[in-house]
Amino acid sequence: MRVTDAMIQDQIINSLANSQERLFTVQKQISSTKEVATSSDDPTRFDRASRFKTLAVKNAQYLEDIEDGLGWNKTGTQAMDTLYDALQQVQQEALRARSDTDTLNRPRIALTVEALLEEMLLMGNTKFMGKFIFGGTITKGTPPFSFDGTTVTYNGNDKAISRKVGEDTFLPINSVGSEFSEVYAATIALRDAIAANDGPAMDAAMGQIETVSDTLLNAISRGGSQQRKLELTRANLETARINIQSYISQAEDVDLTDAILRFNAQELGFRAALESSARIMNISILNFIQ
Amino acid sequence: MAGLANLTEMGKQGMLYAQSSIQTTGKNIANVNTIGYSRQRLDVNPVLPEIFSGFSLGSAISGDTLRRIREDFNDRQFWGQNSLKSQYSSEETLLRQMEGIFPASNDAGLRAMLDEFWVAWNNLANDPEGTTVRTGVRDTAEILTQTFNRIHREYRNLQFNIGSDINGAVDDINNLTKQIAELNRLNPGNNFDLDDQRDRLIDRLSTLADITVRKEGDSVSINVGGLLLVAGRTFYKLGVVKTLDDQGIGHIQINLAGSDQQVNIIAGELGAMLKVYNEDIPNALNHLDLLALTLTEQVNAVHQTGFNLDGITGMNFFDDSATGAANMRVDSAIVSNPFFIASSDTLGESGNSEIAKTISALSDVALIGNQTIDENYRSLISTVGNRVREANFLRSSQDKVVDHLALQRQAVSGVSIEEEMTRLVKLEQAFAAASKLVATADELTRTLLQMI
Repeated sequence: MRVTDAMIQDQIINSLANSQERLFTVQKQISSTKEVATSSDDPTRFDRASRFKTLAVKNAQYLEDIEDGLGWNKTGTQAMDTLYDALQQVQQEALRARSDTDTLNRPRIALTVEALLEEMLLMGNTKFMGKFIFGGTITKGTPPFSFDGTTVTYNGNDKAISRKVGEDTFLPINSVGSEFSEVYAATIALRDAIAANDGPAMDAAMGQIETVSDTLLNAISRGGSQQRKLELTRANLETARINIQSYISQAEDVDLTDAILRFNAQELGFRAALESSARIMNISILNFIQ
Repeated sequence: MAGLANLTEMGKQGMLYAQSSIQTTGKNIANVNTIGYSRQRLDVNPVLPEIFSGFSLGSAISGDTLRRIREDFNDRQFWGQNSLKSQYSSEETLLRQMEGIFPASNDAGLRAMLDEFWVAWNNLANDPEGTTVRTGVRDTAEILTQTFNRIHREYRNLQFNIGSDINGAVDDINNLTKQIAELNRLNPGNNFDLDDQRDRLIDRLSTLADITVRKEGDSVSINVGGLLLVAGRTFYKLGVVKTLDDQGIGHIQINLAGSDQQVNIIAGELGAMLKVYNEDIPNALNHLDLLALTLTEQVNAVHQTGFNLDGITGMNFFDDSATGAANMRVDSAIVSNPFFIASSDTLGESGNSEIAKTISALSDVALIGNQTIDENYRSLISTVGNRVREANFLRSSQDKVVDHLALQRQAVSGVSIEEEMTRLVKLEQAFAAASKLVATADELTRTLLQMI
């Protein structure tokens, strides 16, 4: 092929520009550590990175939900534990009243039971972050349990409070007061029986307390299993979080070793192109004829 | 005697030829860097000595013709491929601008705003009694709608700017066809400089649109977008017709000026701009509108069934008068008082967060075809990204094709200093030799005359 001066110049300009562009691309990848920064860099990988980033946001949210849920759940379980302790004391007081031959002590025991009842009511109206935890979805305003001196009324409902811990997965975090509201009736019955010095009624109330203790223990163990489910899910999410981060990195990060090797190769190419261009531009027939 | 006179004549002819060749070479050297210059050559036809009565007679050289070294075939190939090259290249540029409207990074922009919007509702689901979480929902929703508004506005601006560029390109084409017709008129004979100038204009025209060129004697006729625009001294102008659809999105058609005759320009810068203006941007705008409206409708449908802490129900969350991404808004009542945000599906249950949960879970529901809102938005980004990639691929392969054709053109028509300098040396020697011939003839004549 016939070679002209303009061809040589164009060729030099084109190849230097191409070489420089490739060098610039690798340099950009190294300095940003990202191989895929826009969709057009690689639509599939960009899309994958976006998807995992959304997943990462959701995952973080699920973890927060679980922390929040565990706070609620543990507050509830602790309150029920305390309630159970109080109930056991009531049982002991009942035994003492029943076995004590000195019936004069009974009004005093009735007063103790009354005090324990107050404590149990306090537990039933426990708040977490300003919200009643045993009232179902009635969390503000009227407390779950109100006491008019003779009866304890449950003002809440039976609805579960749950936290989203996965796509389509909700875990309940609350126990509702209606699960254990009979403890109050039983305790009141006992108090009244002791106060009235009524032996058979005391026996009946003690039997009642026996039953509601079991109910309460069941509620506590349900709370415990809620907690275990939350913690198990949290462990899974923690693992997923690490995986998601590595998926995002695989989708958009540059392999630095590879990039630096490519950079070196491009740099060498660019230097060689500059060197040879400089030399060819100096060769001319004009240097050889007068 | 006749022989000696002929010798002088031959010497003169030789000197004259060398002189005009040196002039042509000089012109070539002077134009070594002139874009579009075709080298010229002085061709000479040796005249065979006439055998006349046993004597050799006649001049050595005659009928010298100046030639413009140029291949029509190369030109036609170049023009055809060049309009594709400039089409892909401007498509890539314009689509990159479209892509740039979504923030360059994966971490900002509409996707991140959508993520935050769903998180805000989830926070409300965790704390349905709260006030600050409600403000949070309102604020992230406002940022989300503003992002929709901004992206839509920037697309419209880009489309508007491309519209102005289309007008400019059509003006350019009209100017070029006018000048080419003028050169057709001026150049009935062989004026190589005018030929070069006309080919340069056609080069420029081929970057703007798809053209076909026919040489008819000394003039050229040119079809642009399949329609004859230059025929000899006559040329026809193109006009721009802009219409708006019911969404107010512009559509541009190129017509033969002053008529309904549509000119279908598919390549060149103009072809690329028309495609992005008429297809890519409207598609993206419709995509965004569908997203904005679906989000508005779906969130409202759930929100209306909910109750706020005061038991107020039936309220919109987003302003339902929105017609697309351009005017998507959070409902004005909620903007002024986020306490109106509903979270419960039952009257009087402060801890009930079913509504907030349902809205937050909309992120996982396939609302547009079989895609969730997030997926549908990602598919918009992928569509644009894939188009950029495709244009980039086509552009870089087309670059190679056109570079090769340009090289071929250069190889035929370009000036080589080495070649011209060698020729100069050769012509210098030829001139010296020819003058020696005259001197010798002179000497011979003198010797002859001395014999008298």
